[in-house]
Amino acid sequence: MTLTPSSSARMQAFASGGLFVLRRLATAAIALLGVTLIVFLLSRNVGDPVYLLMGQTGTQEQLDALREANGFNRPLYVQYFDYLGGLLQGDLGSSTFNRRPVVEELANYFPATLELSIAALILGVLITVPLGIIAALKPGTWVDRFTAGFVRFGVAMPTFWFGILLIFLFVYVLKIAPAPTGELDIGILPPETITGMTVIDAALTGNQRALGSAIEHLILPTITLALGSFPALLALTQTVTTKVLRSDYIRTARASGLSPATTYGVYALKNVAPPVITQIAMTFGYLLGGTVLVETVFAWPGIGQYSVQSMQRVDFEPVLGVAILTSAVYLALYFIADLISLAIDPRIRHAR
Amino acid sequence: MPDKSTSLPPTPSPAGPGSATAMLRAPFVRARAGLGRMSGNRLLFNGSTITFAVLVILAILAPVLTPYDPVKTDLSAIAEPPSLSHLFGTDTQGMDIFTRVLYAARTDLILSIVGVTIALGVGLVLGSAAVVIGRWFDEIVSRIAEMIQSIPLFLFALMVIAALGNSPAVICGIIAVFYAPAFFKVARSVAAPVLGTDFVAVARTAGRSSAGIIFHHIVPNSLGPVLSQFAVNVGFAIQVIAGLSFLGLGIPIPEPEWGGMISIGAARIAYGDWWMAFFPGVAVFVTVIALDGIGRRIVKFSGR
Repeated sequence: MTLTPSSSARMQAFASGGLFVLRRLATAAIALLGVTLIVFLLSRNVGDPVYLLMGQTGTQEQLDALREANGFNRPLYVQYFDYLGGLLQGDLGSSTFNRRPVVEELANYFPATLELSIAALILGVLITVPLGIIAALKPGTWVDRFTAGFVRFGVAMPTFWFGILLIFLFVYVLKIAPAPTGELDIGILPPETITGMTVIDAALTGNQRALGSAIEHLILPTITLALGSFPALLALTQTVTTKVLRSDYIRTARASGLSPATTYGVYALKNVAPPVITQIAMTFGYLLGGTVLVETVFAWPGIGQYSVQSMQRVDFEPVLGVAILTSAVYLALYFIADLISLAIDPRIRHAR
Repeated sequence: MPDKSTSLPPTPSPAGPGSATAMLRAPFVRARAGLGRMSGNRLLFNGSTITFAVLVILAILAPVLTPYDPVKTDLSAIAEPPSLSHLFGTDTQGMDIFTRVLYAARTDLILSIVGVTIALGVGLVLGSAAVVIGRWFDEIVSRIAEMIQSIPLFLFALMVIAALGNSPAVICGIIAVFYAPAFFKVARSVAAPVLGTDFVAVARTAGRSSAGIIFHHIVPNSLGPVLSQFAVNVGFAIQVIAGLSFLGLGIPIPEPEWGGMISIGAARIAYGDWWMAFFPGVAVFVTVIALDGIGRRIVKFSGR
């Protein structure tokens, strides 16, 4: 079979796209491996695991036997591979506090974090992306100045402190928001668990009382989390849009008589989208791992609070599990963003 | 005109298409232009730098400015609202909040500056080395930098503190590890275009060592962007330290530290005692916004 020039070019493009995906996948895999190595080494540094299991009371023979039984006397790299094998089978160890497997606990706590992160993501993207684009379209106007001020304000504001101020103002002064008791008012039974996300479960089961309370409880932490996480996206959207609008191809498109709708809606947007999507994915990853402080302020029962409480109980396996989970989710999101960008802008496959 | 360099355009390309002499001189001229601008009055005297200078002076003069001891409890003055004798009020142990905010500035600024300075040193050395040594070394360090930046900082900090404790050294170490990649990237991005130029090839042929090239050509060029990163990252580091202490995992509570003070106040918000959490938070906010402003100024004035 002979290849026409165009089909061979197409195959080449396909191959380089595949190469790009492979390279990205390899990078993500190596990064995740690095994370597990760091986590493993730290966990071995937390203290003699045998003492942690048995406390100070064991005799030397008992300790040795336990060490033997758990394989702690093997070379470190053997233990690491063993640990990796466990990870691949979804074994993140067990809590030394209540003996429950960390994976089970994560399944309990993660939905609350996911719910809060998704709410903050929706709020943040809906406000910052249009605002960044408008600010870029109208440089020098009040929108532009407001955006600059908003970015500086959001960057400098300590998120947890902002949350406390919101609680003080809306809960204790104005008395229009519920006290920060987590996802629901005290005394309201949680809805039947379907997704684990209270708002969605309440809506699915038609539990109006829980739904109302859950939405009320979601508002302040969502605003707090979004304020701390989205200045970067806002600044990036504005910068990228400004750059695209100043480019030669936009000028050419306008000069050759294309309508503003086509110029901006198709050509400009296509070039603005990839970096913005990547940043949104990174922000979402950051949200999932960065809710620790906000969860603590609002008593939100997510993985952030779970890891802080575990730390306070000198229970380390959960902290390590949370770190691995969030790193994995972050890298996966980053990878997906790359794929979307690749689909929108084929030039990326040639970039390193 | 006293200083010729100020008349140069803001961003002369390092050694763009030009005469051979321009190619050779460009990086020097640019470095001098950057410094010339940076010493200008407009860089030194503006809201951000003045605010930050005032903060530093307040922190240094803390013992002179306030009659109270930052960690001494006073059971006769518990949870008092702001007044003339206690400007910012007192906390649940009767400690004067104004005093503690000033002393906390010392804690937070010293820890963050030490941590970010280590990050700067490590990042700069590795970044320059990556460009000079080239492929495999660059590849490895770049991947490690990417990996560090892909870990959620806060959880990683929890993990490290779980393993190594929460001594100031560990906290500085966490800050250093987390901000080193930013400096690595800056150094690398500044160094790469300079090293690719003919004039470095000339310097090499003339027998100048890699270290010499780094010191004479790369360091001056990276001054602006690096200083800007430094200011901004010290601000971020303060937020991290305050956040960790807020969770009770950073600087332990009786020590004056902004985050720890906010955590004392957070528990009292429900009783209307707003001042305990309010003032230390304002201190964090003002410090970080001033540092951010300084970073922006430097970027503007060094022409990048």
